[in-house]
Amino acid sequence: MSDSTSAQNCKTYHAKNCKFNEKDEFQYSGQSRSAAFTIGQSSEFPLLAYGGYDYSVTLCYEKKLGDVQLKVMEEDGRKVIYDNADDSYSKRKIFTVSSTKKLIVQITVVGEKEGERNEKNTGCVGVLIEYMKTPNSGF
Amino acid sequence: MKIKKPLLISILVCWIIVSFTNCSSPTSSDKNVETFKNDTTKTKVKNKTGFDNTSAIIESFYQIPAPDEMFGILRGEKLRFQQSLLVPSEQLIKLVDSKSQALFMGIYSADLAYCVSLEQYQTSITYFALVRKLADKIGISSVFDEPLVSRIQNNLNNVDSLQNISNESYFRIVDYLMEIESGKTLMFIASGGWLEGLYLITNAVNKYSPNDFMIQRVADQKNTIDNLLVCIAEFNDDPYITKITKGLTEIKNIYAQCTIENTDNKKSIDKNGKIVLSGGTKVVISETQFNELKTKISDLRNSLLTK
Repeated sequence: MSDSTSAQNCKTYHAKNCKFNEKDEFQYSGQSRSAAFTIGQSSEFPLLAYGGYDYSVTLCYEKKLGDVQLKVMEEDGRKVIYDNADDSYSKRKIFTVSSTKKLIVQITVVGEKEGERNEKNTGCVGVLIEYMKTPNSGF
Repeated sequence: MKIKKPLLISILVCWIIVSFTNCSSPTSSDKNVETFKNDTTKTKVKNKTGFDNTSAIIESFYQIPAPDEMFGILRGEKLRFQQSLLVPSEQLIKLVDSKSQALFMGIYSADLAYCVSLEQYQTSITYFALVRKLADKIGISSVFDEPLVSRIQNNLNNVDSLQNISNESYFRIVDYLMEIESGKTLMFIASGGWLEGLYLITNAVNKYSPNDFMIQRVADQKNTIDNLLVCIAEFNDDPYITKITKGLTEIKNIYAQCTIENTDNKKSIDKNGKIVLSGGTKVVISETQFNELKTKISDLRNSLLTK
């Protein structure tokens, strides 16, 4: 299989392709992930978001996949906090986390499953997680 | 003779150039690379799609905070820097085997993150050099390339850049080890970094207060210790690991006694359109539990130093 259909070759896709947040204060989080996805596939991973931080979640993916849906949910009860399908499939969202939370990041490549995995229907998706200390507000 | 600041910086830069470009002997590097080439511990990504194609070790590793993610909260807090808490540089020469070298790679990385967070530039440079020397000992010095060294030279007084560079160095090491599928090495680095991070934060607390943000960060680690133990469990046939596992299990037992407070999860939008999350499940640690934890963490960490 070619580069983008091999799971091994998607491993660092987020680090090389996702747009890092312009603010210098944002730091790369080791919870960032990448994986190979087939059109129609959904997959998720846990995210431990520490209180006192802002988190920037940025999506990047190969064009041939079409639209990619990003959902962020509370681990408890899987309540959806953010769904980019309601936000024109936006590729970035920033959250302020006041108290440490266990979240779930779910990725779905929108579209109908088209049979066996092949070069046309499989590609890399990256989720870049960055954090910074929540700025103090007020005077 | 009082050394003027520009000259001091020049001396530091020269020292950095020597420290970072001095190559170790091919024999010692090759031997250590050989050790890690044999470490193909269950990290190979099965050629499946989605996020669940990682090994148990790597999956657990993702959820162990890197040193900066633990310490970033200290920035700007005007805390007293305590040099005496750091592992002395002299410890480096006692690290003669690959396990202790990898463990202390994590430990020194945490010390570096602490120095950077508290804007201790000179000490940060010392600990950069220690991390670099350990990378050389375990055969991964290639992660510290010329552009990285130049960035360190050019940003000696810039805490934001030093934080970026410190964090980037750590993840270059992690990415390299993931590429060569060195699960055991990653596990040692993560364990060392986590333990040292917790040691530094517990000792940075002057007085217990249930609302102290550092105390809360310590309490939050209840969420990660299980992942750490999963990582380590793969290698429990190793006596060095058994000792660490025993210590971590004692720490986990203290966390198990902590109270869990549940409040409603809340979501609001601030004036900039940013989602603000609050409420939910909170780990609460009492003063007694905190002091027990601090003692257990110190005991385990210090036992590794005397080895």
